[in-house]
Amino acid sequence: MAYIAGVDIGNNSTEVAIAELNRGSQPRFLSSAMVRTVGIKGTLRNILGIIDALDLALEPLTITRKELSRVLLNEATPVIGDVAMETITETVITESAMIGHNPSTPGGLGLGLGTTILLDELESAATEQPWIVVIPGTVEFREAAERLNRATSRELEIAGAIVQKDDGVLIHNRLHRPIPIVDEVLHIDRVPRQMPAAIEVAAIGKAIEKLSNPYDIATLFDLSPDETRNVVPIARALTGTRSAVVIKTPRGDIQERRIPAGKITLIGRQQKAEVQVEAGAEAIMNQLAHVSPLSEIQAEPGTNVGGMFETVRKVMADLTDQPVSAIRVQDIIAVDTLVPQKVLGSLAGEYSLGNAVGLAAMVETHKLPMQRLARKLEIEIMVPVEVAGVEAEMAIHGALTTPGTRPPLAILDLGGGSTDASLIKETGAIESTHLAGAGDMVTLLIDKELGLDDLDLAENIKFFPLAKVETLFHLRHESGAVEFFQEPLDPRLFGRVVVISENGPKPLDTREPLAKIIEVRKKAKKKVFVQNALRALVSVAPANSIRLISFVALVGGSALDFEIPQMISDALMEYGVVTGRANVRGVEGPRNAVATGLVLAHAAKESG
Amino acid sequence: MLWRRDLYWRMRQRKVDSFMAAERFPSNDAKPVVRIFTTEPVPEQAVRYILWGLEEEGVPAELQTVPIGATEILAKQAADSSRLNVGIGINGTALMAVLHHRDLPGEKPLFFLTAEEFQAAPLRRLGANAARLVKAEPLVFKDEPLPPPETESFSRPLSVPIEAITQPPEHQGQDQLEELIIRVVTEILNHMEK
Repeated sequence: MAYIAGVDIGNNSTEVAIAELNRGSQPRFLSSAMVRTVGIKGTLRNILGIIDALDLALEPLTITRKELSRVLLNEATPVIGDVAMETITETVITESAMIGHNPSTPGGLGLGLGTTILLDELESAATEQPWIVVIPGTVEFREAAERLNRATSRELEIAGAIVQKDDGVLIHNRLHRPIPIVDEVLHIDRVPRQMPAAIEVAAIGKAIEKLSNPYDIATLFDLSPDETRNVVPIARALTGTRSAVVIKTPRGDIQERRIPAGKITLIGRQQKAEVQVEAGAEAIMNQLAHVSPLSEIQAEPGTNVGGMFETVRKVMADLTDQPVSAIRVQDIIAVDTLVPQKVLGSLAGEYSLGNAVGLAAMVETHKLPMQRLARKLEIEIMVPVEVAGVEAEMAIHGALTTPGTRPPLAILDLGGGSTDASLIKETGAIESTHLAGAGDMVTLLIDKELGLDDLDLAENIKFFPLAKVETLFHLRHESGAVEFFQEPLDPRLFGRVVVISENGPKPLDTREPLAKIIEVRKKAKKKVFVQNALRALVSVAPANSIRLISFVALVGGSALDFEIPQMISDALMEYGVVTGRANVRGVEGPRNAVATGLVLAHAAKESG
Repeated sequence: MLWRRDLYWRMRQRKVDSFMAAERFPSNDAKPVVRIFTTEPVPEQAVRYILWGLEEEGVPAELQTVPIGATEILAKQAADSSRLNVGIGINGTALMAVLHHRDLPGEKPLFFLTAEEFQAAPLRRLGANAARLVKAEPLVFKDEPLPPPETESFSRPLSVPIEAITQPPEHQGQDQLEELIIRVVTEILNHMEK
């Protein structure tokens, strides 16, 4: 009888399986454990994590480390992935000409058309034309209202007002004649004077109708067809807001500019192609499919993507002691996305949606210096350590212990940096592949599309379901379920969308409604994980046909996600494939596949 | 039709402006309003700031004067008698203002303004928060004026996993130290319990 331990060092976690080996019979698994990987996979720092995991697994067995007869490590294929984003359109205003935002409480209602004028100049203004009054923050709302009322009584026609402070309703409530008022305009000093302007405030719960339509803007300002073409970006940026101002300036110039984002060179084994990033994700992925099998991908230096390619190669070079020039990017995935962008030259911090392309890259080399790690570990724990099997093969042997599976079985490992797939055929032959783009890319997409600029928060949104805090004592989960609390919730959570993280509800600093955030999260997961699951399975499937795979098992951390398995299962349904989370040895769920596979392979070798 | 809400407000405003008169509104008032209880003499300016905060948010309020009482208790009573479950208590002599909700225990008001905070901006914020509490909208805080998402720095290249794995080794050490300290403290506490 002998005790052996299989150890799987992953990018994020280190997993251990302990088994008892008796000659002539199947290994009997006794326990397992998982800890966070210490240091980069393949480096000597991993040892700390390995020892921790071993101790954790041995603790309930009352066996000491020295009683182990062998420790088995996996032969890891180092795969490093990274993500970047190139913005390809932006809205630029060279002269201030629009305000479109959502102050929580604008004043009044309706549409007003007039010429902009400072409140101070109103006394001497002419009565022939309607005015849009600009009220700076230095004027108190009562005074502003009174001066507007005085002006009205002088037969001056006031069509609307633009207010710097959050005073819209207060001013409006004190006026004799109602007008639409847009408030919380931060850069009120940038509002041009004596220019034709239109102002629109929609009813509560509605969005503006006129100023978000280019033809209505053309009607209001008497624009030529060419000028109307130029206001399209304004109309688009104002769509969906509750209040807006459009000011026509003589040299006013608003453009939707395309930013050159550089090109990507795809070098296949037979052919080569260049594709502009600004052509969008579809064009890039089409070219990629056309050129594949790929041998290398290059990005133009000086762009975000070029910089990202360099970082990935450098990390890999350091890790494997190879020159950077020997490291090649082998796969990319591109995803189209819309990101909120601050409008350049805006007056109230307006945003418009710009087009962007998210890209993830992956590099892969042959072997990590695992022998070095094994020797060092052997000295540390005084137990023979052996590098026993290739990761992809071990994982699939482990996954095959899932009840209800048999070859041809494919496994999908949706990680942080890369999506990996392997397939075992009836003959026992194993195919595997690594693709760029996984969890980190989803995080980036969520971060950018919601304009969070906080990757930790984006990560939380990816991992945990959302809820809305409806009162001081209850919140409504995204599923619709209501949860009550004994103690009042933090007032900072009140009325907000929160993520239900391990440490309780955490507020999101965004005004986006719950439904929008859910949509962004689901779309990001679909764009990356579903697309990559299909790409990966096609590349390992017999004759590249997913239909010829009977079983697909999801392993690794992302398999525990609350919605990804469902999405992939939905996508694979049409191929008639049985899809689900692996249940290694019938007890471990999607975890511990590689560690289990190591033990099984060793046992098979011993007995055979 | 469009202006009905505003008319309602203006009518209400007139009432509110003449609040100083005394207890015009019986406490069994069935109208949906945020109720404000204040001690006499009424701190008129402070009351005005609070009412403006409510008005900008479009939520009606009603004022009632009481001879004397602790500010939290006044606030709690105001909240309990409000059909919107939200009340404010003001003590003009001690310069204190408290925002309360019917569901909160009396000794745990939502916000408490001290004498130093008894000023225009915090008072108006207290009014706005009373209204937002009614509307179930996010509250406003001094340190965070509800900023829209900032994405200026957005074209900078990102490297998620790289950042994650190039943490300096000291960091690890610190974590371990922290863990050790927590463990020691828990141990000591356990001992004390025994």
